Amino acid sequence: MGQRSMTEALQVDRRRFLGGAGAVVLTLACGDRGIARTFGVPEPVATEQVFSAWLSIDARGMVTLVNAEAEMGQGTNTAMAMLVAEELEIPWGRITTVPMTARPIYTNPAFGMLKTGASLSLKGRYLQLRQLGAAARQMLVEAAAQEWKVPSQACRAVAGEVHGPDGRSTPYSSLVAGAASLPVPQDVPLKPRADWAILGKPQARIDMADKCTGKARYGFDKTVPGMVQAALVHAPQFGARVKAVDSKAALAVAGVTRVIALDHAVACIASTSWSALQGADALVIEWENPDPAAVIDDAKIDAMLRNGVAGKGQGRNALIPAHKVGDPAAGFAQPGVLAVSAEYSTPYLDHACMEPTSAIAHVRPDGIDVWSSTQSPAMIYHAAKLLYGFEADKVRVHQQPIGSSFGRRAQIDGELEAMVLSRIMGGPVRAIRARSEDIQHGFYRPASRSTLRGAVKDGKIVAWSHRCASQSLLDNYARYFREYGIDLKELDKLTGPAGASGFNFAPFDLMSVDGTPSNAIYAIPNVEVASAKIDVPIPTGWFRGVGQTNNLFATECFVDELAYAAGQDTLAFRKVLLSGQPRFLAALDRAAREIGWDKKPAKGIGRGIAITNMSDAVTVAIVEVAASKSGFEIRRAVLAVDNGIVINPDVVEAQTQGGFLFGLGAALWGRISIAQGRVEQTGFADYRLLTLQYCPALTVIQMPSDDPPSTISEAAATVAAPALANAIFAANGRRLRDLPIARDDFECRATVA
Amino acid sequence: MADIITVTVNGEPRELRVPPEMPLVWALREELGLTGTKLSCGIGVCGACTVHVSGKAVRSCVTPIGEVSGPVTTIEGLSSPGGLHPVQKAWIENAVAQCGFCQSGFIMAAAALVDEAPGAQPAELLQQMTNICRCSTFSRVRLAMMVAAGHGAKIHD
Ligand code: FES
Ligand code: FES
Repeated sequence: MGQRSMTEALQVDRRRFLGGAGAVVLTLACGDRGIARTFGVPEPVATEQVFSAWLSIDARGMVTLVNAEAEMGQGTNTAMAMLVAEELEIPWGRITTVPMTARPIYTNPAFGMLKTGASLSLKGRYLQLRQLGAAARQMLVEAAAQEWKVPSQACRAVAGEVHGPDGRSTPYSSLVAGAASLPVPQDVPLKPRADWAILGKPQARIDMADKCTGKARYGFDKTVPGMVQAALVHAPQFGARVKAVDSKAALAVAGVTRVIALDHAVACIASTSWSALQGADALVIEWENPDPAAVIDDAKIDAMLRNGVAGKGQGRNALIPAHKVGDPAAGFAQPGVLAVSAEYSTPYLDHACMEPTSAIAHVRPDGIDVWSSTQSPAMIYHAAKLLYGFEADKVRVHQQPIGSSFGRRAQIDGELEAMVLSRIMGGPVRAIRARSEDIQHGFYRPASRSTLRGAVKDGKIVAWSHRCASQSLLDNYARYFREYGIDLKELDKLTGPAGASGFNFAPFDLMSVDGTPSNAIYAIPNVEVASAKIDVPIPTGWFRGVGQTNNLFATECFVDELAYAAGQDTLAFRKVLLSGQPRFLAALDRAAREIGWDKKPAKGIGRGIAITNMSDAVTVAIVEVAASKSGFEIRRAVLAVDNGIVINPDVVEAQTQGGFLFGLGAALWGRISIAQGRVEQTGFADYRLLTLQYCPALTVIQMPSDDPPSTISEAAATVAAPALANAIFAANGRRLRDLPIARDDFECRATVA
Repeated sequence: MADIITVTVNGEPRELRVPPEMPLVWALREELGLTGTKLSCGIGVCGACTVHVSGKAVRSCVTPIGEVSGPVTTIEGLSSPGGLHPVQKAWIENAVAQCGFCQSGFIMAAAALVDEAPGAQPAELLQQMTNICRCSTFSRVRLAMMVAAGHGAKIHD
């Protein structure tokens, strides 16, 4: 993921004239090689076609920015607008964003492809969008200077106007046409942080009012003229195929017009969503199931995971060394060490996005339009090229705001289905599915097993061993492309290093060891990490927090176990481990002070700590629970976070709260179980999700620093489970090493009673 | 074929030619174009589809249009000509929404609670708010509910 230098020469590129009705607009495009521009006069086209580039300024001085990052609750609409507004010198409130129609020029420089994810939105855009704003400002200033026949040094941009000598001023909107003939300036200096007026301060989300009045539109709300609804039913057993379909009952449902059998699923086509869903329900499908011997269930998976951590796997399932520091064998063999071992496990999890999976596609002889709530627009146009041979500029992916994703909509399974069905139907098709389909055909956080061994001497950890086993995210991700005859190697070539399976360069899956001490923050002299993958036909994918959601649980709980084994206070024990990490120490101290660590809690009350360095940020959580033999209640949680330079503290707080509670809900009840080769859960009734009655009082302490901005919500999601498990142990002495935490004989009680 | 069903939505009588079993959520979204009401779980668990029928919160995914017996208010009709509903104001001031997909349902549920029982105690209100938010905006939902119900910003202690 090479960060492309944004100081490369800015290049001028005359693109087509574009404009909004009645307005002269200045459009700047910032591609991967720099900033280009177009200038325009009105052209009456639909909004989705107006913006071929980044930025436009209309006759009223209102600035519209194309948001090239998906907005899915993490606040990119607001953050991207803030970056531009700061350098463009416009008041907050004079800028709005529109979702992009995807094009390669919008590629995220930190990602190397057009994709939203891995907490890279701010990292990739931080410099790029400020440069864009600065270049536009400079051109407007220059235009005013030329009009007034004064040196541009005598003019400056102030709140959407250019001010010149003798108190004269003119609004940006009157300068746009003049700026048209000017070259795009190179290397405009950016404002020093001390001069920031918008960045670093809490700014209201620009889409908040729309989201609270029902005006916000998501992919699920999109309609296009002439579209039909297609409700999909997928093979219940992983790997099963359609054998025969009896569509009589489905076709008898009013509004149902056609039933289309694909290889892995059957689609019921109708004029309305409800008819399509009812028709899908009425389908009688015979499946060709996989060989019964190959049909998996939880017990088989567990046996494979145990085999994996025991080092009994063969070939591609062998336990592979992933990380080594010092001499672990010698570390464990030292005289006088206290050795401890423990096993941890985590289950499969579904994203359970609020917005159901849906996508609209229109495949025509001359090109394709896709409208969807996607994190991976580039994957869509690349896949379309491999499917139908269209070049990227013939495939228009219209980004729609996402109603929560957490990694799920990085997968383009719904978009592929919509494209294939549209091609068959010869018109636009909206592919939808019932919630039961969504939850049974997700891309799950893989189940895992970890075996840990630790040696403590003189109150310090002197050796650490972590063996973990799970499915590989990367081997499984993108497997579904094969359904469509798409060659993954070809897809990789198009998507680049961050593409379909391009991260998979190590013999082990890097993500599968994330959250083990291989991402070292602790001072441990001897460490070994080994990883084994198991092969089962369950689709897996990125899940908010990714590998850390598995391994950090084991790591952070085991640190706790070692502290107790050494007879030490867990806070003091961790501080020794963090002696070389001032940012982590500061956050840990701050969180401890906030929760009142110095005061010993009453009997039955316990506190647990968890720490992560995910996304290059510092995240510390301390959870306080009241626990008895039969149950527990989560009273309080404190999060201290240092995510470098903060763009919008209000959004950082919201994302930290939300990320942590997301992780907490998963820790409490999250479990996808597998029986007879399929997912057992059918929806939100049997896949229990968090509600507010169980939420602790939550304090978020922000400790910004001068490091580059990083985001926080994925990290906050990963610390919840270990902090909770550690708190429960502190409260009642019960060490819970298998997620989820709540169980029939140990329930989580509401905090609101 | 379906009979004509008459229902008042956001103060306007509307005639729909749909089967009476059609869930209200689909009638609102696809027949009337009112997409502010969302669908998520489809089985009455998450509250994303909450609307008011005769001022009471109902989950429109499990409410057949034929059984709707009073006027329907959706998120699009919650505010009055005088301005936003106090719950909406509290929601915006406290920046509750993240992705926002669940928020119409939360706001409709909270508005019904606050309007029905003015002066209700915080715990009573919070107990009844069983909506699901996958972005997990619960900390701010609590805050905004208390503000809207006139309990100020203090929830804990
Ligand atoms: S969609 Fe109606 S309650 Fe979930
Ligand atoms: S705000 Fe995203 S699901 Fe609630």
